Amino acid sequence: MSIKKKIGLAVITGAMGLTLIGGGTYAAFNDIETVNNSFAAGTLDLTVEAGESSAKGFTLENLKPGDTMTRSFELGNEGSLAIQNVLLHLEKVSFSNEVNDENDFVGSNDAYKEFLKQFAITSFNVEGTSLLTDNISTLGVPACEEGNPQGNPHCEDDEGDNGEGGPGDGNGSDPEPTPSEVFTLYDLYNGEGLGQWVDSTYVFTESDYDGDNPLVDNKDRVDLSALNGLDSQENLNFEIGIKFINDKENRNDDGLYMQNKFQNNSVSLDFVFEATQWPGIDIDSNGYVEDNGVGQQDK
Amino acid sequence: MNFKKKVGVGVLTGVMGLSLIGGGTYAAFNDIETVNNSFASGTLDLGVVDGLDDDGKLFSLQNLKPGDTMTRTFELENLGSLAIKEVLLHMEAKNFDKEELADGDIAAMQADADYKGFLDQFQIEVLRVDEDLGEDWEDGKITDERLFYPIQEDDNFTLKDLYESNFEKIQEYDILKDFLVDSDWDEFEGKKLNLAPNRTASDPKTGEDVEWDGLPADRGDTSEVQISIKFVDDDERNDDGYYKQNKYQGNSIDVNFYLEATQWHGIDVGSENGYVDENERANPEDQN
Repeated sequence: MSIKKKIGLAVITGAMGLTLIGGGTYAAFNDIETVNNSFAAGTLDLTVEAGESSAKGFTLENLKPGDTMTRSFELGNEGSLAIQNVLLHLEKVSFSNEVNDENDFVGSNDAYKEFLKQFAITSFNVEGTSLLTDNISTLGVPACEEGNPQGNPHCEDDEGDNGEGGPGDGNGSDPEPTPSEVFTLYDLYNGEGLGQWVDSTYVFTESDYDGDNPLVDNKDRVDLSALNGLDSQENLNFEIGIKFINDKENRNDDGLYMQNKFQNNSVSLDFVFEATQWPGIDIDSNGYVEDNGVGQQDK
Repeated sequence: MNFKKKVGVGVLTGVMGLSLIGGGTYAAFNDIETVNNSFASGTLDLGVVDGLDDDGKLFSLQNLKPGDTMTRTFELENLGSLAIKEVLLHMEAKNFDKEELADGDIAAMQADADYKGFLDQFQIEVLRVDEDLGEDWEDGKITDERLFYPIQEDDNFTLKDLYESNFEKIQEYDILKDFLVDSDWDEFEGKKLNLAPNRTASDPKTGEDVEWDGLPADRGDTSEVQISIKFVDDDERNDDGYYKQNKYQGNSIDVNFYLEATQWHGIDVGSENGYVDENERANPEDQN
């Protein structure tokens, strides 16, 4: 040790001695570091808008059997978090049965179910892809394809039905499907056995996931975004086509069509879309978690 | 693990503990959107007004004799909210009965009478359907009216022919064909006459093509139907000199006309919501 360093040490030691004397108390070494953390949750925000050239939802009066109707929806993700499932189910709001003299339908608590069975779901598309199983074609509502020998009530307008057989030969040779053979609003409402009509990829069974969900009472729902989820700022087009089934097979003893009982029936029901988040991920680096804005199919 | 990492984990654990306390349960994020829908069906309701008696009968006649004629007029009105496409005339005959006759010879002839033979004694001399044409849809006023006679006197068309849908014998069958409809009501076979025609057809009086549009809803106008029936007068005699028609003495039968109103074909109600006005009118897509 050089003389300079020795002098230096002596000075430091002297200074420390002075400090100790000056403070009058014992003071240890210490050091303080602050690590700031911030946690900001993202937003999960599903929006539902009317699709192009379509009203939002169905609000229709003065319908008759055979009428067809289509509505499209733009499902949007306005939040910052990617949505995994967009789950659709139906909820009945109200039902009314205004009696007139052609309507001998005795209203019961279940009457709305019978009415919902009169509405066949003839198309059910996400981004132009049908979610319906091939099963449907054997159940009376085949896809609209040229040369389809079975004929499709949904397509009949395009084919100019009634083209032969003379005037008034209205119903043609294709029997109308009866409610038990087709996928109806009731089936979607009921949520049982959805896999019969909807491609199983898109069927969401509650019990496979979180267990009880009071929202749907464990009914099966359709997962409209089952393929890739719905990323932040992404849109998904959903289209549903419905036909008021035209049942010309069944008459009562007086010759009145059984469907007459549905005259002046009116039902209000909600399409309920529930958006869910993706499972949590392991985040290594700091910053805005971009990964949470996109689908996590691989996780 | 260095000190910094330990601090970091400690803070994370603390935050998680806080969330658990705050939420009480593990809460995932979700969002629920609801779109309301309503579906309401209309009513199809045919009214037969003016022309029925207090018992709701069109014809209720006893003590008739050959040569008697009877004419009735009634009006068809659409009382519902849906347009009516066709009003099909279905005929039912039942309760054929024979009164016991005092005269032995005629009673013997009567044994031979059957209900079809009796129905054949009643000729529909005139069936007239009036149709409103050229309405001004906007204010609902009728600007033209035309009468159509599907059945006329020299057709010799009887209640038996109507019962059996034997329309071929009508002389102007080609025109009438436009007013005949295959019924899917199994109890009644054959073609049925449409009293509210709705097709383009040639008017028998003028030869012009005219449009008939069934019975639209909420128009406040009616379609009149007139029917004249004659108990035919047959001067054929049997070997004993009795008119053959004597066997129908004391015969009676109930004839029911069922007027079935049918709906138009289903339509694509389009992308607009609300009351489907289009269903109050004839559906043009279905007009060939």
